Amino acid sequence: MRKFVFDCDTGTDDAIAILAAFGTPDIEILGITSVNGNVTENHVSANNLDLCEYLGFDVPVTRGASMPLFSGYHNSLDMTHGTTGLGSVVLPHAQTKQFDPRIASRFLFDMAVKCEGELELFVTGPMTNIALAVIQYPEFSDLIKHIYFMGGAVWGGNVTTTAEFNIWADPEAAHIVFDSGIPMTMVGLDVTLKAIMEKEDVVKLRSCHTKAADFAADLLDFMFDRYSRGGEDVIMHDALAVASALCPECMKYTDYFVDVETTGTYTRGHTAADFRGRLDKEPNMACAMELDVPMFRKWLVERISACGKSENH
Amino acid sequence: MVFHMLEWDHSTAETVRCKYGGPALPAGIMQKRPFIIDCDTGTDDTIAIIAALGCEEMDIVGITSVNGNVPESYTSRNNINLMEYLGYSIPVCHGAILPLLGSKTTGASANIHGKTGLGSTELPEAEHSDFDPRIAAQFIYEEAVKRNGELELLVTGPITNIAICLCEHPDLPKYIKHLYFMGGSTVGGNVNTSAEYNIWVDPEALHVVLQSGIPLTMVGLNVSNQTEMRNEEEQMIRSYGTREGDLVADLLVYMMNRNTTKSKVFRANMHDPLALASAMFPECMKYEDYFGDTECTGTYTRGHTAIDVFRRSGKEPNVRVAVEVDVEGFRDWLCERIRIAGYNGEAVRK
Repeated sequence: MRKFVFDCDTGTDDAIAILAAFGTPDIEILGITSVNGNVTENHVSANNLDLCEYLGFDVPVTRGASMPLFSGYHNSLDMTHGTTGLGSVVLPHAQTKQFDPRIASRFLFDMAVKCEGELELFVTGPMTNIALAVIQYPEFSDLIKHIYFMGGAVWGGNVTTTAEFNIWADPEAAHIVFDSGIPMTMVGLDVTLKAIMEKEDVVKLRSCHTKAADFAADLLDFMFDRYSRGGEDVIMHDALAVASALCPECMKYTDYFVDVETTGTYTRGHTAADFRGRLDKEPNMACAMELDVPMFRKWLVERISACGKSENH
Repeated sequence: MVFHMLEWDHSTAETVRCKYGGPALPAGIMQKRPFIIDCDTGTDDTIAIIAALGCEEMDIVGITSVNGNVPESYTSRNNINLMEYLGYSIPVCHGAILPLLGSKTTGASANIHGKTGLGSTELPEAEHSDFDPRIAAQFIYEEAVKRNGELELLVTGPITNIAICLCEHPDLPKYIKHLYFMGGSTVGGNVNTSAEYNIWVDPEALHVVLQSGIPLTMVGLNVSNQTEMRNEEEQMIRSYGTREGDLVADLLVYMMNRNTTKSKVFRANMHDPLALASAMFPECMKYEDYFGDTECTGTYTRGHTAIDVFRRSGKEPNVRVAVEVDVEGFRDWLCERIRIAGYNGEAVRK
């Protein structure tokens, strides 16, 4: 059985990605680690804890880095995720569930050791926690089987013309992780900007009558409303990173050597993919470049529909 | 150049109007716009120059050469050979042989423009023409002053000569009506994922120009990558049966076939002619005013044109950026310019 830790900055679309992972049979989610990103780390951690208690996900939730390694403190722009991270959706505060006492990087290392080289990671926020594990635990990189991350773009950006939010928020962390030797799949804006949900997807989710599907539908409704007010579209950035691991056939990938621009005046956080092969370096990741949108939407609705079925019936 | 009635619509007694727009002019008066073309000729630079010769409203004051697609020794030769071959006595100048900070970066495009810059095309060596004795920066400044603020510039290579001119003559901006340049991109690049070739060769030069206050129009890859010429255009241009048409058709054949060497795609995109169109057929594009600066410090991103498309900088716009192009309209316009250039040329050579 494949084993994953989910590192995230929940986050509206992070929450949906978590549901998709928990709705997938035959994989094991060993824990959820929190990181500063879309919103501040205290909000992210609370969202993860509340979400797990509300939906009955019995896995450890840890707190994590509250600051980027080096750059200033950045959170999402223009209220893409609302003030607390879940848009207008309010979850009941966790009553009994407690945080795991370990900080994210330690938890990640412990799980990596426990899985003896089989651990895979979903990373849907800035890469701070992963970088902290890499620089503190010499064995860590070799013990991670694969990282599926949402971040970057071969072409373009959404914060600047060259930088995507997750990488822009902590370029040095991404550089450390890219350089770690861990096998990776990058799911960037090249594909995620196409992963737009439709109203009919909400209808399908509502018809499930499960807590998880209703929660996802509420989040999608917030996103539709956000879009109608001129904000970001109903884009499933993070769920697409989960899909790259669990429904990889919905995308096409190209292997590139990718490093992070950490020194530019305007371009910090650019994921520089050596698409001309000029640097003469071995590729260090597969970059998702094409997406079958209907296949992805179908997969996502199915996975969320399956999420928590046993708890509700 | 010869004035051709067929391009003008005498719909009223008082005014004539260019088929492709432009200001209404008093009947019988053709107010030509003085231009200097600063270029690193270059396959598509050559096509832009020929198209410019087919623009009736354009008075080409001179052609200045710059290091870029190929070394300046080739670009200047190509420019002078081209003028003599086509029968024009337009001044041709030497220009900068290195980027503003002296770094040597040329050669990366040798497989794009061929060793000499004209692909597989060879022009006869000019025998009766001499270079203007002035270097590009001096020529540009003197001609600008002479024209009292009416001179416009078309830059289709690295923008080094203009930056040099600004360093030597800080009052240049008041003499330049507008500068149209091919370079950069609002998104992506062609040298790497963030830099376009012309700007990548000399990022500091564009940084200087962007801060100068000269009214600027940027035509970047975000539009120019859509302007591929195809077999049908090549055949039509060859059917004109002119020296100009044949030369352009030969260059297009080279450009369409240069892809086969590697898997990389270098289509016959009309980057430089599109910059000409932004000056002479502006209606074929849509533009937005943005603040922009050049990335001069990145490890991987030097030469990126950081255009503030998200409008988050809070800075005043300093460049008009082409954001959309009517490809069909542009192609038709370009073919027609080349047809007229041939018509003009045949008359000039008689």
